[in-house]
Amino acid sequence: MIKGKNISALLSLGMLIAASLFLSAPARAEISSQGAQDFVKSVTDRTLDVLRDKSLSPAKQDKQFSQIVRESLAFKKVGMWALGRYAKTATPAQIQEYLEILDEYIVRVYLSRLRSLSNEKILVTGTQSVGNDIIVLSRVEFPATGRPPVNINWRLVYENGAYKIFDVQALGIWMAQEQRAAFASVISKNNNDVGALIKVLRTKITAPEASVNAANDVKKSAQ
Amino acid sequence: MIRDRLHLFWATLSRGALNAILVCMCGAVLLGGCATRPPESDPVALAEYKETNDPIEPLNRYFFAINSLIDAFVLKPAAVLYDWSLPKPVKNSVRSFFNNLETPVTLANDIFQGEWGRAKTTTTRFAINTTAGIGGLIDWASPMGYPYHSEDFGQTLAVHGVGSGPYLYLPVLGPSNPRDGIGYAADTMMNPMTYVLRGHDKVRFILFTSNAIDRRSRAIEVLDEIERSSVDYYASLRSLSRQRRADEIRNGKPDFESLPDLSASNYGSDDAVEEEPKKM
Repeated sequence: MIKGKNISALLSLGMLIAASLFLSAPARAEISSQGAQDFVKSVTDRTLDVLRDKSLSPAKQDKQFSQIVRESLAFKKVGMWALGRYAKTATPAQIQEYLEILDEYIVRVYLSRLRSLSNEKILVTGTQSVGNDIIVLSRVEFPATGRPPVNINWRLVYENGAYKIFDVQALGIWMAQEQRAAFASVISKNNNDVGALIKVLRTKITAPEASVNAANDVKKSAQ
Repeated sequence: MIRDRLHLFWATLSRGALNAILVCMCGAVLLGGCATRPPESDPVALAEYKETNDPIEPLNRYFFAINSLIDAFVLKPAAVLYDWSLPKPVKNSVRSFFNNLETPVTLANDIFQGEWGRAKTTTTRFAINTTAGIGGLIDWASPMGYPYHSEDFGQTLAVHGVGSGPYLYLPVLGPSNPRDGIGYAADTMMNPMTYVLRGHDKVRFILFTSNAIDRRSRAIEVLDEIERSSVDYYASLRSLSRQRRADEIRNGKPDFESLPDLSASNYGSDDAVEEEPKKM
């Protein structure tokens, strides 16, 4: 007969099994691989949805796209990495200011650079582990124009249980690496003063051209 | 006379770009076109200097400024006009034609690199496009499964282990380095067109310029966007061209091994842990 003690034993066993099912993971590589691919897929899907939504005003499109970028990028990590060795010589106030402006700057750069791929099909094709990070491989195809496909690789970091984008590579070029080189150049030309970089970044984010639809209009008129 | 100047230009290139580069670098030293190497007492700056690998940066920036003027007043307007006025099929034919003309150089370098599959593709492309494609004006080969690729002697040297050397921004030719400059000169010597067109400088000039305009027209938006968003266009271009070149040398194969190691940097990178400089 099933008595209290047996029930609690059964319950414990049941909980143990359930726990082991939920908590036991297959090899870290497997979980990361699928999770990473899904993450990239969801980011690109959401982006394409926003860019294809004709009912949205240009300003609203920009805003929603910015939202997606802000949620998906490892801003602080990229920012500090881009400063490189100058992070040591900057004051905490400068770092604070830099990170705030960088936020806006990166959104604009991603906006204008990735919008040219907005109307095409993006296929996630696989992953590769690099150290503690993971690279998601994808391909953009241009069925309409017959242009050869472009490989886009996403370097992801895993922070606080979530995937974030650290860098994107298209046509062999890693964007964050390029930004880092440009930042280093500005700082070193101004007596290693991070303040000079902040000033230049400020001019870039107040420029009016960096909007999704402005760029699209240029593209249309050039065809 | 323009004709004489062009002749001199090509002669200098084909007799040894190395000479020209050496002259430039000596001139750079004399004219102060060399970047000041930071002292050992400033390890931060010194490490940056080494990683950037652009010891004649002031001279490079000078040529960059001149090229930018030529681009703004001559090349880009021509490219924009070309892009706007000609229908797509015509522009594609132009591109096809020039790609086809480059076949001997590409084929030779495919072979030098031991890339037999690519050599076969190059040969097949040439055969199809020159005949059915009427002298290369129509690219039948690509949709048939023979995609275009280009090779040059600079890539061949790189594949055989020759390092790129410091960054060079060459007048007219743009971002480069000693190895690729020598490669370009070697290709010019290898190219039958150089000899076919000897004494026909006007034709050579027209071909060179049309090729440049077509290429420029295909990069208008991309370069505009980079210039607009970059905090230092010269430095961005330096990084982009190097990365792109490395990608070309690998024939598009991904190289994730030499990516910067992020685990070493921790919100304010530690100077003691150096990331790999990206050199190719």
